[in-house]
Amino acid sequence: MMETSLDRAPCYYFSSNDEGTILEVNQMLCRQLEFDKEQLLGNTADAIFTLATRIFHQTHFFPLLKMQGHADEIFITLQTKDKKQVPVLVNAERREANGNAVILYIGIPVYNRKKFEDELVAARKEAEAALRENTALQQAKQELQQHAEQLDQHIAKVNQQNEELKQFNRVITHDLQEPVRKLSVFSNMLLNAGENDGNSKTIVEKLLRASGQLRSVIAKLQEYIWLTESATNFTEIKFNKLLMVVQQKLETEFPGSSLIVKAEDIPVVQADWDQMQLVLHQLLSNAIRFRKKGEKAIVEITSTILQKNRFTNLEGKYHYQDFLKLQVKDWGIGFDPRGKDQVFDLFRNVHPASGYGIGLSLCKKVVENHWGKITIDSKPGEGTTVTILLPVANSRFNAGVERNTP
Amino acid sequence: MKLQKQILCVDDDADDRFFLSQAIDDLNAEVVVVEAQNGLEALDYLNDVKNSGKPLPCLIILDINMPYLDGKQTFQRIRADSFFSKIPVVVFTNSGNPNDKTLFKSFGVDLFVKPDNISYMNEIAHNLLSYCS
Repeated sequence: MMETSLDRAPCYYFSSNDEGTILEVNQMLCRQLEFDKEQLLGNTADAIFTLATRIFHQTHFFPLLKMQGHADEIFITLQTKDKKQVPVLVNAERREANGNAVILYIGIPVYNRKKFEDELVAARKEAEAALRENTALQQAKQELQQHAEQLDQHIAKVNQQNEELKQFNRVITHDLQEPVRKLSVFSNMLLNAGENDGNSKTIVEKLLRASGQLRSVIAKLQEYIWLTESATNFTEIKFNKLLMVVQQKLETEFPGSSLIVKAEDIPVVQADWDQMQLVLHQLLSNAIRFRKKGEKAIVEITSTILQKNRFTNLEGKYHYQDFLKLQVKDWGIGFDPRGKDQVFDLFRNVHPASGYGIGLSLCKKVVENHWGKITIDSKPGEGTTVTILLPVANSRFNAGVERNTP
Repeated sequence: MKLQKQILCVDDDADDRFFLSQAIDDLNAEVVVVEAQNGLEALDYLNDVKNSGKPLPCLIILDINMPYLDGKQTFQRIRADSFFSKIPVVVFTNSGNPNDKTLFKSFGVDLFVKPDNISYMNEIAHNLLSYCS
């Protein structure tokens, strides 16, 4: 006989045998399922199981009980006399005694379980959606940054090309036409001069010089345009190694120039080997050509890494990145610093003794190809310092963006 | 000794300064051509004249494409100083840029295109000398 306390306990209790005949049932279960105790005792448990629970009981619940003797936290649905469903969480135990088996069921109603489950599912879905949105936002932000950098670089490129176009225009109207005009004037002079005119030789010399100048301007222009068209191949550049190559070349070009280069260990950057070689060659040969008379050409190269905004054209945009600051200083004759904005212009030689005014234009072009910056400072008699800023990582447009991502 | 009149020729091209002074010298030996390689040198020379009390040049001939200070900048600096602003200025250039022509015309400055033959050079020299008579 069932104990009184269990009969009155605030939980569902019933027991059955293996055949499903209800042996015991407590008050709370009867009340909940709206049965009288007598209606259930001796009846089959199928009376209080819904169809789904009956199938579940036969296929899972009962086999489990038979196998391991108990089953915990099983969710089933019972039904009232009027077939109203009551969700229940059940623990059950199967006991055998004298060849007879008894199954004890203890349960509590879990009307809210579905609600909790739904809420849990909804919360998880929300969290997942938020995560997705967040990721999408991050991605969009990254793409935006990348596009902004591309835009900034395109603006820089367009500005550069605009500037070049202006310079080409000046070169065509001035530097290419001038020698031609002079050829014409000197030929004319030669024609007018008498056969015994002592000036003839001078004029012929001038003729030769003008035609040589024309050839040279065209050749240098070609070199400049070649630099515009050739692709920039970024590799890891060891400047100290590059320096040795350039110094060897210069020794054959300027024999006995006694070039002395003092360079510390320069950090590795991603740059185009050939183009950087051109820059160093130009700067060092300038140091040789503009050294003080009778003195050695001494060049000191120093370098530091600094942080600089990668954006140069878009206002209010910042992306700080490592830049290599390379300073090439010589103690040569220098030039008037008032001309320092013009020395990078094509064929604009501020120095009477300089060549054709192309070298530093080429340097500027190379540095701009690397999204860097070049400046120059000089004082007559005190020497010249060229400062070059180069992004350390340069292999791709988005090198900086990638490095931002954790 | 009679003081010679001076024409200040500002041009970065040594050949052009040579042509011009030759042509002027051939026409009138009384006028000397003083040469400056660029605008800065020209202004240095003018300031020197101003401080020493020597007579001012009767004409300044300016090239347009020059380093340091180009023709336009040099012209503006000359005009900005009341001491020099009365000196006649002409432009002597090979610049085919129509903007240059319009610009200097608006300043009231005559523009001579650099010649490609001697007779035209002589004609220009003749015209230039008329500023100094």
